[in-house]
Amino acid sequence: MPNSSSWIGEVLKALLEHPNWKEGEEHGGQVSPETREFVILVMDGRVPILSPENLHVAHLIPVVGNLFNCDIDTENGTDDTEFCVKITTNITEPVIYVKLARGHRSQNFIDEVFRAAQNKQIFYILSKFCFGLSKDFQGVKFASTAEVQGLSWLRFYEDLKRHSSPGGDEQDSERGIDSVSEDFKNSDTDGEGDEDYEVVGVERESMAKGMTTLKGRDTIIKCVLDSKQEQFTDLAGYKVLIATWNVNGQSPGSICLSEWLARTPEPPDFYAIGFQELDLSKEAFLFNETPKEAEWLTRVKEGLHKGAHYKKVKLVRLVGMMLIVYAKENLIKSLKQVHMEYVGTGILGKMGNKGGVAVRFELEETSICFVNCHLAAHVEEYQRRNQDFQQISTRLTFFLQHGIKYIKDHDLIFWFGDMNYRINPQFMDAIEAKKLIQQEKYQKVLDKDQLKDQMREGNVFVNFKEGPINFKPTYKYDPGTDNWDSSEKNRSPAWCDRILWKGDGIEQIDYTSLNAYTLSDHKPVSSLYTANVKVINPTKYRRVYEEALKKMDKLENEFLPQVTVDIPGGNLAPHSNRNEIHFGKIRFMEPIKKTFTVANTGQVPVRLEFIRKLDDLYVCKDWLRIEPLAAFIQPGETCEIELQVLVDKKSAGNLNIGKDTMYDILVLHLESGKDIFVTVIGEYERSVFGCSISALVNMIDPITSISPGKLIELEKGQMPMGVYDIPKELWFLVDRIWRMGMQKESLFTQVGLTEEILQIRDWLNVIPNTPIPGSVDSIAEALFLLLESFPEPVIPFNLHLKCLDAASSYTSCKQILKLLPAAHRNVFVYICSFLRELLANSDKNGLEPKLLALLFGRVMLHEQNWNTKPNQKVDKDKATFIYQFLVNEDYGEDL
Amino acid sequence: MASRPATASGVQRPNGATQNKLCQFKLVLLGESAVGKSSLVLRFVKGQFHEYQESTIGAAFLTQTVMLDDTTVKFEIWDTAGQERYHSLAPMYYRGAQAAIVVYDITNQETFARAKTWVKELQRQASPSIVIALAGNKSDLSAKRMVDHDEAYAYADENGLLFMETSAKTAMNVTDIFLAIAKKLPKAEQAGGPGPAQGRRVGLEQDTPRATQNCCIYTT
Repeated sequence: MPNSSSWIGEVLKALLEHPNWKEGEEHGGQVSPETREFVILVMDGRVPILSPENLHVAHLIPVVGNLFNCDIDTENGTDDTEFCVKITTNITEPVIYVKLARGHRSQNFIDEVFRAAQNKQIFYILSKFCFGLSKDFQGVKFASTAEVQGLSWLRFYEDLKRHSSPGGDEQDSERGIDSVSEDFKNSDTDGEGDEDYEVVGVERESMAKGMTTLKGRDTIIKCVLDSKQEQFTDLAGYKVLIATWNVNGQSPGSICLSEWLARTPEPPDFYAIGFQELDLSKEAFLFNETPKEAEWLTRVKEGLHKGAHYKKVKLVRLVGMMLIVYAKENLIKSLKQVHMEYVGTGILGKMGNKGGVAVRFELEETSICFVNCHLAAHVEEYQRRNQDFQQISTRLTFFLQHGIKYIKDHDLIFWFGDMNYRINPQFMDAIEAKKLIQQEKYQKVLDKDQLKDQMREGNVFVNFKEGPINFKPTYKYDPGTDNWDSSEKNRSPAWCDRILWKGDGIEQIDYTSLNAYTLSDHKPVSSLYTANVKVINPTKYRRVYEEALKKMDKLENEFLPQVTVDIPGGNLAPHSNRNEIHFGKIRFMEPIKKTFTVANTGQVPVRLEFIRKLDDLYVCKDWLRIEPLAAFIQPGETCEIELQVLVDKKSAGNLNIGKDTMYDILVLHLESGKDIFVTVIGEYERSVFGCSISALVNMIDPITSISPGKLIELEKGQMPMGVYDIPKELWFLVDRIWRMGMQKESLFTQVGLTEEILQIRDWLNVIPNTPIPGSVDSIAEALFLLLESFPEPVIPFNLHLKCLDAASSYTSCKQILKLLPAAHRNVFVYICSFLRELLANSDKNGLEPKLLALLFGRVMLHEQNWNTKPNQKVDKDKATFIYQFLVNEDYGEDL
Repeated sequence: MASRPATASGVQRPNGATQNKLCQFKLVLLGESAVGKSSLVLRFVKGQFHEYQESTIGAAFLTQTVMLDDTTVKFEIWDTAGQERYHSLAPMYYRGAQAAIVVYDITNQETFARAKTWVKELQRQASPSIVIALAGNKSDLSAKRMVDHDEAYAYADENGLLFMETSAKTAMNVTDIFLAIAKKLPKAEQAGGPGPAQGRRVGLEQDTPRATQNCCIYTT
């Protein structure tokens, strides 16, 4: 199989060879001849790519001239784990950003892009490169349909795109190019399909296709369980104290923090304590090292509630932002998947002077995330603050064992820190604000708060909540005092330091600032919560789990293939005899057909197939044929099955002697479902065809006047010498030809009439006092049929090999004849004499010994296994053996 | 937004108390015609009972899961035709089965005799490790009883069979007999998950004996 890159090459070649694609040519009158045009093809395909069907041109971006540039983007969020490629063109207004995780695969991609940019060639992006690298494809923007329409030559590629799209993507191409970035977004946000039916809906399809496996089923059950979590979980309330303080780079000294951290009578279960501006020094900024971390940590430990023992869960610091999470000692071991992460949004969009630090863990069935942030400063920069928030939300990624999680993926989120939102100066100046604050009319001032305002607008902290603020603004004070900032700037007071939350099951108990602390230009803030955590109730869980299993069982059983079998006349039969097909009387060589109908009455497509019983080699007996053996039926549709019974030379012998009966049970198997038995019943009317030579030579009466028991006795008798020398039926047939057809042209090569052969059959069965009916040709064919139907051929099977070996020598052939049972030898000599007689008339009938030898060799030495393929060599040797007896002079002397 | 389906915590049971092993077994029902094989299955799987249950012409297939303390057992149930003329096809269904329920009718002595021959056939032809249960069905018709409970019990005991008198009509002992089988089945710990549902194809691919292929996977 050619590797994927050669397929890509094929597609590119097709593009290049298109007549519209020629260097220097003017295309659609849109571009001057001097400029060259380029198209950026984003090929979207399955991975791995195995055939051109997997490859298609997903998106088109026109590029004109040489304004096609590619750069590693430094402004737009580049850090250790990922980087951003910026592609600029002159036609597409937006810059194309491709954000990639670092790694060799993304390096390949980058190399491709750079090469394309340098050579001014078609540039293709294969999703192969992007697959699994980054889920952040949001940045990719493509030219809108309108822009593309301006360039008529692009239509060709548009068409190509449609044709090359695999079936499932048709919608995509219909919607046009401009919806592409949306698609990427959609695929990124996991579907919220936690509805029971949705989950089941997926399953329905896979079950309908018979793909449900034990493991798949398990996954479904997990999904169902997750969607019903509230039914088997109880809530357990935990006290959580959130604290935040911008310490303005100050050392803690001997400060006591218990007023901030241990102000409640009961000890909280968890602490999340956030600091900002822990250290404002250059060392901290450049090398992220600071002695203050230890200093503050000591004070924090001392300040924790004395009513309980605490242990540190995690500490995370980025420059001046520090978050410490504590838990009561006895809770530590219940915490799973404890992780910390940080994101810098400061200088160059990535430095740690601003940004966020976070800690997350899982407690019982609930995931909790704490985010301590320091957003952009300055009164007028509220949009930057919003942007910082978005950056932290989208970039802060926890890499867990089972995948990645963003902040938004947590059940409970506490987000706090120095958010730097101010009182909007356009609506309230510092003097008025201070006045209202003096009067403790906080609400009036808060009405002009930028954070409240931006949240109302839906620009930031969407779906987050904040409790009522009943405390003085936390900023800006003259350090060491409780006085408002007295510097030249005379800043308006503001609630820079805030605590917000998101998630069901969080109840705020209080929210306050601690004015007694005068160390910083900010006041510390803290808030106590009850966080309700979901805990599995084993009894309820078992019940729900069992219900889910039951539901799965029900669905599985409901979606098993279901059919009804409708046999004409079957409804009249007693129930237990349903599914019986009666063929009535069956005669030799007389085929009878019957049909029955299988209707798909279930909800899923059914594949049905007749299968073999146990160790049988065939699906049914050799006198039966089923058409079709397998079928596919859509729900509500039917399929007709035809059965044909035909007793011929293969099966007549066994039916005559009762070794086989006209009775068979067919097993109709529905794939992934049940089996249905269909019984086939018939009554065989015995005939001389299929009787052995030894039975026939002892049969005085016609076969119809012999009881089945007597026939079996005759067959078993193995009497060496019979009543007759040869079967009387043989004599009748030969005699008839003798009388009317010795000079008939093309005797034995003309096919007889079926109807006449059946009449001859009936005549032989009864032997009435009338001449044998039918033409000479029909009688000749009946003769062949009789000879061929002997279960043991004229030359018995055990002598076949000898005959073939001896065929070239007449003497040897004659020796073999002596080994034949008497009746067989008589038949052989009789037939050969008859054939010699025929050849004596060859001037009239035109028969040749070689032809007769070939024809009679086949029937007098017929194969034991009817399915043996014709073998020319064997046939030739058989003919040679017979030939000896037709042409040699001394024939009859010693026979 | 509160309960996200994707939360990893949702499926990781921290204390391991609810961890379940999932096992899949092929179970076949055998017995004389009209002793109530299909009715037992219908009662067990759907909780229903039909006074005039149609006779099974073929082999019906249904699945049902039962929960034990530490294991979830999924039965793939083959309910066979009881008519004598289909007897020769029975091996298609008990071959590769890990469990069998041989059913007789307590009001009909002949069906008990037939049950014994089924047990003999299973002991001779089926997988040596097959778990066999004997079910004396129609126990609601005790007024017409022809098979003595103690006699059947003694027979089952001698032959190492599970034994219960059941009633598909009243549901008595129906779930119990399946549960008893589930408990008795060996839950071999096998690494790796099983392929597509086993035991459904009864056709050509059955050459390899699957007696020991009870599939167990761990699930959380």
